[in-house]
Amino acid sequence: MTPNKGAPESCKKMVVVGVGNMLTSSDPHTILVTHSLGSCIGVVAYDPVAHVGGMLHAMLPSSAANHDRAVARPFVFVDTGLPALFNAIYGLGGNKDRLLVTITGGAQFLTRSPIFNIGPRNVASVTDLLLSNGIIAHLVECGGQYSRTLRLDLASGGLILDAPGCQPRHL
Amino acid sequence: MTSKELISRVRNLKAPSPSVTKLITAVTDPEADNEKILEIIRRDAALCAKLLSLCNRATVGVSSVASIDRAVMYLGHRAVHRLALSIGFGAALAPAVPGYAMNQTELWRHSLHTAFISQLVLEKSNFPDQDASVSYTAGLVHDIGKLVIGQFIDPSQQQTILELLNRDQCELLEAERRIIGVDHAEVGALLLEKWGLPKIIIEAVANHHNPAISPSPQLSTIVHTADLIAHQTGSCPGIASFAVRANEEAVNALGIHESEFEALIISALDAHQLVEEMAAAA
Repeated sequence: MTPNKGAPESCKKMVVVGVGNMLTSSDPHTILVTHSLGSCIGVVAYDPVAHVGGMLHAMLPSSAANHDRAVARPFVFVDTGLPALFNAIYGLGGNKDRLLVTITGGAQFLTRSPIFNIGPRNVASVTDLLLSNGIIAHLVECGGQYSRTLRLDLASGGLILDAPGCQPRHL
Repeated sequence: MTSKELISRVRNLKAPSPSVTKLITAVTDPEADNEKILEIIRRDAALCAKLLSLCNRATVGVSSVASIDRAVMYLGHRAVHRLALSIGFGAALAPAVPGYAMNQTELWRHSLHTAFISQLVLEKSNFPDQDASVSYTAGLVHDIGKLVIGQFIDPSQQQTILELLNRDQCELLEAERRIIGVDHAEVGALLLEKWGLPKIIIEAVANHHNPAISPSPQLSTIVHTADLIAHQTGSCPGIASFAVRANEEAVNALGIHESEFEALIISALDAHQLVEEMAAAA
């Protein structure tokens, strides 16, 4: 199928990736969107040749916090959600060597206490896990004191980032 | 402009119905009996209808509930009281808040999240004297001041606040004071005072970012902590929602071990679906 790169965003199907969830797709008419990326972490991986991609919205860095929950809802955690994202993309024909990986989210409070430091810990968890698998993120847009909305156009791999009070921007 | 002048200029803010202000006073009164609270709910037909509609939705867990009495049989008094409060305040909290770049129902969803999490924090804390319904109520109304200020901030003021936050790394509360002259905690407390809500709720709202100076430090700490946890579970609407400081000394007083906070965050995620059901039933 030839990707429909020219179709306007309004003609495409918006599919929401909820908090603690993950979705992949090879449908060029689909836009994956995730809202409320605060201290949570959003990871997008896209193969520009196979035109397949996916989006993870994980909440916590490690499933050690609750193993039972990690079995029931693996996408809540970075260490169980990230491998699932990559495996699902490979299942759709994505190639590891071609994947463009983007990391967003990981907002942090002005106080960096251990309890309220989940944003930076999420970023570190994703980065470490990627590096241990020989993957370097193409783009990292993390931190700050604001939440983000991220959209991935499956036809082109185009990413648009929204933050409250700011103009949407292409990454 | 002082905060009182600002409140006096509020034109479009829907005050909750008289039954909702009566309800909040009764629910937060340890002496009030359950029958009195149910009678307040029964007398408000619109509130009754919405409450029964919500009870019949799958997430709440019961079906074919045709009366408030049956809702109480299935869910218990406390759950019905909290549903009634949440619905009652929905009308006030649901509008979009353009000054803070919040879409319709975003503030209400965050308020509901914080209310649910306030109960979770209380359950884990070593504050046995605090009441679950009072904690829930304070969580529900903690950010109502943003609704008021949000009607007066114009786009240029919003940008000035964002620039200030970027430049000085200050709290949103401080930026509000420097640009508008008042902050949302103070304005929220004054609004609730005007509506005649109980003092303990007003104090908790006024100090939800500074619990250590609150006349009701335990309740303010519960709401302060619940608000921060809500932000960490994806309930973080509006500009600069992370431009806040945690009062670590106050949070430590809860007696919740560091390792338990992640469990709290996971439990808080479970509230998401219920919050969506409630927002849909509004």
